[in-house]
Amino acid sequence: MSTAIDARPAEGLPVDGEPLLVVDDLSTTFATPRGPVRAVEHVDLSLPRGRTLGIVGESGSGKSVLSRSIMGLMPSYASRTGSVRFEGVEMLGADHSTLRKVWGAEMSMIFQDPMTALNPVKKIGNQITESIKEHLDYSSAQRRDTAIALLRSVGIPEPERRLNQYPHELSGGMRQRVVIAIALACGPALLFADEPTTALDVTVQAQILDLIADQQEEREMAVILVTHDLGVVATRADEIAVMYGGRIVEQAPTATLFREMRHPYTEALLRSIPRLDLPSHTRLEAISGRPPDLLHPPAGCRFAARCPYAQDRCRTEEPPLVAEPGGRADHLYRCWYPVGIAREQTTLDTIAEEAHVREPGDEQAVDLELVDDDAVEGNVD
Amino acid sequence: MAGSGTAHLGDPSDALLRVENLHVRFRTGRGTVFAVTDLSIDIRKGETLGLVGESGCGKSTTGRAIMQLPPPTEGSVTYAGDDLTRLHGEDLRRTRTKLQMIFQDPISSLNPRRPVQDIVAEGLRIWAKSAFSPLAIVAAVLTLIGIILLGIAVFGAGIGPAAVFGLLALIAGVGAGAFHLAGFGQPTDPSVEGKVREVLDAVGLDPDVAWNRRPHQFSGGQCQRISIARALVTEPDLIICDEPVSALDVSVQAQILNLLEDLKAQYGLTLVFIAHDLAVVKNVSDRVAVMYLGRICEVGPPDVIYAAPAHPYTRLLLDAIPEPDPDHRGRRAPEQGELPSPLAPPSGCHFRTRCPRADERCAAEVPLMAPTGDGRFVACHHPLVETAVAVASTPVG
Repeated sequence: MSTAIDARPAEGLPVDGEPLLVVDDLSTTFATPRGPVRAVEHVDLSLPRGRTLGIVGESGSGKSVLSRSIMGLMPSYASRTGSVRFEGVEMLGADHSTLRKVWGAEMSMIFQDPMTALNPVKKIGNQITESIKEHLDYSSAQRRDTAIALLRSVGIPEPERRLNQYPHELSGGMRQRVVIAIALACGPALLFADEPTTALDVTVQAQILDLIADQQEEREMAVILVTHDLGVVATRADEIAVMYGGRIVEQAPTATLFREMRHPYTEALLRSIPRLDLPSHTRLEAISGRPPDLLHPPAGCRFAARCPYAQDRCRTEEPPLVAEPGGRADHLYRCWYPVGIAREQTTLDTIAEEAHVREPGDEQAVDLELVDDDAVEGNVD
Repeated sequence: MAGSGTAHLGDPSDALLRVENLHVRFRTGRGTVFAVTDLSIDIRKGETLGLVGESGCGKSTTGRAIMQLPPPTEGSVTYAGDDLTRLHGEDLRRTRTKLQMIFQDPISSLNPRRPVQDIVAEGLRIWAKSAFSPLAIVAAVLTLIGIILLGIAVFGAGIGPAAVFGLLALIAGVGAGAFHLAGFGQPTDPSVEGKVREVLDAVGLDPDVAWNRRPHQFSGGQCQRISIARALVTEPDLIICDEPVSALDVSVQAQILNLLEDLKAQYGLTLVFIAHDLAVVKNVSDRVAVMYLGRICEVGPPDVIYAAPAHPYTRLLLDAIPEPDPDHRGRRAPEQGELPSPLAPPSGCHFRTRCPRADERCAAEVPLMAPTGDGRFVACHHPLVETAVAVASTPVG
């Protein structure tokens, strides 16, 4: 395994003093028959080696499009503007042969659904060695040894036998381990994990997340963890970016985000989660309405239509993503009337204090808007 | 668990539905799958019973076996004095209007070609339908004429005009019959329309807006509301909700969970809530049954079970859940092993192969349900909480 990692130069060190990944003003637009859909707009990020960034949002928030935009896995009808520098090299507009050298070797992705991410008619061994064959000058015996070592490191018993099996012969958890082994095969510097555990049981989810954390520590790999589950990122990410309607609405180190959340959407997400530590029949605070139509985005704050605190200014003027004057420079948010400043701070504890058991006649948030015909949802997330 | 027994069943008179010694086995090319093994549970009037467990634990199979979809291999399902496993044909279908289901995928469980009003009204129309509508009579007469003419043609006259007319009559008759069965040509019953409007309103959809729309014009959460309306329309006593929120975003999930609780109060419903998410199950349930490989491990009030699980499997499940709290960082999930194959479940307690407390007794004897004294029952030889039997033998001094 160490040979695979050594193929990468300057391990653990930033290239030219720059973090591993720097995303600057990245926007992605899909051309659809009904007009342009701005799925991701004006995203700035930077990620050093060995760190984990969590990207959180609902379906349609643009979180998956963002990770694919950074990696460059885009369909032909998508266009990107801005800049993505990876190991100091500009990836936007890079030609296909440059990207082919980076994909799999330097950046790789774990996809959500382990059944469709694997080729059902190819043996697992061949699927793992495919990228090693492409990127590293290994003999076939070395490739086989590497594949066995990878399968062992992701916790698959009897790896020698598994090499000759097909995906359908494995359980869902085992298949997802194979997908991870493939993503790790060439010792990437940056790993995208797009909802890596959504299709799995909780017991398997915990094992897979631990496995990614172990591999990250061993290889000093940076991880971008995309999920809709705040519970998953709370204990796994160093920093969290909350996305809504194609934009980052709040970004902060994990502990800061949970202790001093500023954006009403972050607050609403946390309030809507059923919690194990609260009594049975606790009323959940649903978010009424639905995410904005990205074909015709609203003029002001994208969350204004669903925000319980929205005022006139929110509907006309979009707040910028900035740090609070005199506050932490690494805590950015996009809100005119932030939680904890314009009104009281919400935390896990205050939510627990306010929690009450359901009673008939409680206000019920209802969403009555119809979806437009042939909504372009499929393209957006 | 791995256990069996019936100690946890309450007084039959409190139970709306009672499942006793339920077995479900499926024959496959690779052998017999033991999906549910000797499972007993009662569902009390007005409660929400949560069924929770990993995929493959038999929770959905149990829900479907209650509905006789398909009927269980062994055991009884008693509802309103009738054993559903002994009912057939129309008796079963008529009883089943009082038991309804809501499924996981809200979009694929609705017919994409039919407007919402038809989707919701179908159950009512089937049971309101008179067998002798004009269309049914026309269909029967045409089919009969067709058969007679074709018979004459085949056995006597050869291929001639009679054969052609016969064939046409037969086609028309079968077609009319199909239309009849599909619900066309029924006299529109104003009470059907009123009921459909009422349930759409109850699930938070505007009947005037939704009436002639088709499922693709609704979001996932709205489709789940339509499914709930469809289940409510026949005025059921019991609704089995099979992973009703696992395909939805958290914000929408909260809406649907609140809605189910409101409807339960409004219509006096009893719910069976099947889900893999322990936090969701805790939120809606009055009693929770934790399942493992076809058996119940532990059943009781959620606040009791979640505060101090008695079964090692429940402990393992709870430890695996990521809490939305950064202070829990660094806590590692315990080594958990893999679910054994339901083709060859372990002897004795099904959970013993993954259980840190397992010993020889667990391999030899299936544990039986025993009370822990706080309304909870556990099937384990070495529970994490003393059972009442053991407590009784060691008086508290």
